[in-house]
Amino acid sequence: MKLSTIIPAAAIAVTFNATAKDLLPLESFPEWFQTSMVRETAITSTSEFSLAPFNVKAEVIGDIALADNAEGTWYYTIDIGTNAPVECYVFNEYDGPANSMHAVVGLSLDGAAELNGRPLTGRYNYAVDTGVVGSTPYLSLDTLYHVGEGENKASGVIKALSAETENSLQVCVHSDVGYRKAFFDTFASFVSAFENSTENNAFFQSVYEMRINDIPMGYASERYTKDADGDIMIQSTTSLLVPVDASAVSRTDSADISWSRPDGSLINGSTYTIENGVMASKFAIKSSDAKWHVEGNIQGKTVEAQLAYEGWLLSDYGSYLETANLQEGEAQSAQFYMWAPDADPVTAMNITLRQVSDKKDTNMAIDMGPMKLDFYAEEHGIFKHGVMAQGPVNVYMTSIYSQGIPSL
Amino acid sequence: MKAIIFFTLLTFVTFVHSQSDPSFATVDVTLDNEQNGPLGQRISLSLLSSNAKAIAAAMQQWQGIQVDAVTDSSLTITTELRPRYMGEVKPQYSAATFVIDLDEPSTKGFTSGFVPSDEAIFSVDEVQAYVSEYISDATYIHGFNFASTVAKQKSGDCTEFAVLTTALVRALGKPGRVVFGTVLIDDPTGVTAYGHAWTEVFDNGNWQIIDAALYGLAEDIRFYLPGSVIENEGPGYGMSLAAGIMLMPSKLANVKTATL
Repeated sequence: MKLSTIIPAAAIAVTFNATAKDLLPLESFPEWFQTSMVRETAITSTSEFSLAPFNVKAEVIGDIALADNAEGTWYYTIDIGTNAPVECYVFNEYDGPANSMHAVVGLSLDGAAELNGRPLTGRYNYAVDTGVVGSTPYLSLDTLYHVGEGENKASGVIKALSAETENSLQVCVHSDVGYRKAFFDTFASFVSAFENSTENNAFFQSVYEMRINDIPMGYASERYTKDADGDIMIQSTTSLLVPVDASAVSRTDSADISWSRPDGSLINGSTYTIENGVMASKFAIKSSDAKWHVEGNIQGKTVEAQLAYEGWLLSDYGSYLETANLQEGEAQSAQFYMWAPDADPVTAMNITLRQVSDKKDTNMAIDMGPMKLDFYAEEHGIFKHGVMAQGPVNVYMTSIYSQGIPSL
Repeated sequence: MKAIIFFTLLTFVTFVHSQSDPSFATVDVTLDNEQNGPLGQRISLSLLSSNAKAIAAAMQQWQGIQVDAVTDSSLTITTELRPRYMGEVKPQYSAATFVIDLDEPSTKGFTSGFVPSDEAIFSVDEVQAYVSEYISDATYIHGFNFASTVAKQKSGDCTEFAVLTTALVRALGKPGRVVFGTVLIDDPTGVTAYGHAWTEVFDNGNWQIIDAALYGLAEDIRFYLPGSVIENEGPGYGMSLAAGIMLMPSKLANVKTATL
C-alpha cells in the first residue's frame, strides 16, 4: 500500500446507518472525501494470467504479477492505473469467503498502520454487499479506517471482495479511496478466470441473497449433480457477513454435502460451520440398521445420537420435488421430516409445506417448528423469493442466480 | 433448499438478542401522547406482533404483568419494572446441561473464581459484578455460546452474559434459567427498546432477575418484558432460540406511566 492511498483527515464524523448497503452515508463526509469516494478510472490494459494447480489460463483486466507464493497461498498485484494496485490472494486451504476476507482486511489494516508509522485508531464498516460473478457468489466489505490521532490523523478505505470457486478461494483488496467499479471489474475478471477453468456439470444450480431489514448479509448457494448410479450430490455453501455494530462484523461460513436418491429421500449428509475463525460445529448423518445415526461436535462438545425417528428423510432435492408436486396437485399441504442440524442435530424436524393464496407475491409457505417462511416458488418448485417477518427482524431471501431445473 | 433456510434463519435469529442497542435487535418505541417526562415505576403499553396471543399467554406466567387486551396483532399490558416468574422450579434449572455445562474445566474455573463476601448470603449484586468483570470483551459477533465457551473466550453479548450467569448461580446451588425478551429503557437520551437476554435465579422462595450485561450502566428506568426461556438446553437448543424470537414484538406503542 502506498502512503498516497490514504487521506489526511483531522476529523471525519462517523455515524452508523443500518438501513442501506452503504452503512455510512456518503453525504455525511467532507466534500473532498465525497469526491474521492466517487472517482473512477477506465482500465485499458489486460494481461495473461495462469495458475497451473487450478488449471487457470486466461486474460484478465489490468497488469497482473505474482508477488509471493507460499504454503497454498498465491499473492498477486494487479496494476489498474491507480496509486495502489489491486491485491489478490488465492487460497487452497481457507475458512471461507466471509472469515477469510475478514482476516485479509485485518492484515491490510495492520499494513496501513505500519506503512504510515501510526497506530490504527478506528475502523468502521462502510459498506457490505453480495452478488454473483457469473454463477459464483461473492461477498463485499468496505472498511473505513483511521490511523494516528489529532493533527496526525489520516483516513483510508480498504475495499474487499471474496469468492469461492472450485477448490479455491479468491480474495481481492484495494486501498485507494474510490474506484469501486474499477476494483469490482478487476475482481470479477480475476474470479472469472477461475470459474471458466472448470467444467460445470451441475443440472441445477442456484444462489440466494440474504438480507436483514434490507441490508445484504451474504448468500447461500447450492449445486446439484448426478453420479453414475443416478444418485444426486447436493453441495451447498452459506457465507454471512453481518455488521453487528459500527465496527464489528460477525462472520459465518458453512458448507454441506449430502446425497439424495432420485425420489428425493436422503441417503447421507455432512456439514460444518466456521464462525469468527473458529470451527463452531461439524455433523454427519448416515443410515444403518434402518436407523439414523448422527455424530459430530458443536463448540467442541461431542454429539453422538440415534434419531428417534426411523422413517425416510426428505433431502434438499426432495424439497424441490415436493414443492412442485404440491403446486401441480390437489393437496393444499404436505408434511415431511428433514434433518436440520442447525436447528436440532439429534431430532428429525417435522416440516409442513403449504400452498398460500391470500398474500401478495407469495404462493407457498413452510412451517419449521416455530419458524415460518412465506415464499414464491416458480415452476418445478424453484424458490424465487421469501421472507420471514417476525419481531423487529425481516429476513429476506431472493434468488439472484439460477441455472437448470431441480428435476431429473 | 430447505436446509439453507434453516441455517440462515437460525443464524440470523441469534443476532436479535444483544447487549445494548445493536442495529438488528432494536424494537421501535412510541410514547403515548399523554406521556410527559420520565416513565414511572409502572407502565402500560401495546406490543405489536403477529404472535400477540402467544406472547400474552407466555407473559401470564410472570407476576407484575397484567394483560389488559389481546387481538390477533397486538396486546396491551400494564407492567412493573421487574416482573416475577411464578412457575415451578424444575429440576433442570439446577442441572449441568449441554448448554450450561458446569462440568467442563473452563466453566469450573470460572465458577470457582467467584468469592462471595459472605458465604451465607446470596448476593445478586456480587454475581452480576463478577460476571460483568469476567466477560472483558463485550461484542455482538457471537451467535450463541455455551457456558464453557464463554468462560474460555471471555467475550460476548447479552446471551453470553446470561448463559455464564446462569452457570454461576447453578454452581452456587441456586436454580437458574436463561430468559429471552425485550428490555425497555428510559434514560436522559429518551426511551428505547431492544431484544435482550437475562438470567432468572430462584432464591429465598422467589424468582428474581439478574442482568450482568447491563450491570454498572448509568441509572435508568428499565422494564423487563419476558418472552421465552431456553427450556431445551440440549444439542437442540437452537429451536428454543428460534421460539424466543417468535415471541418478540415488532413494536412497542402507546407507552405511558400507569396509575394504580
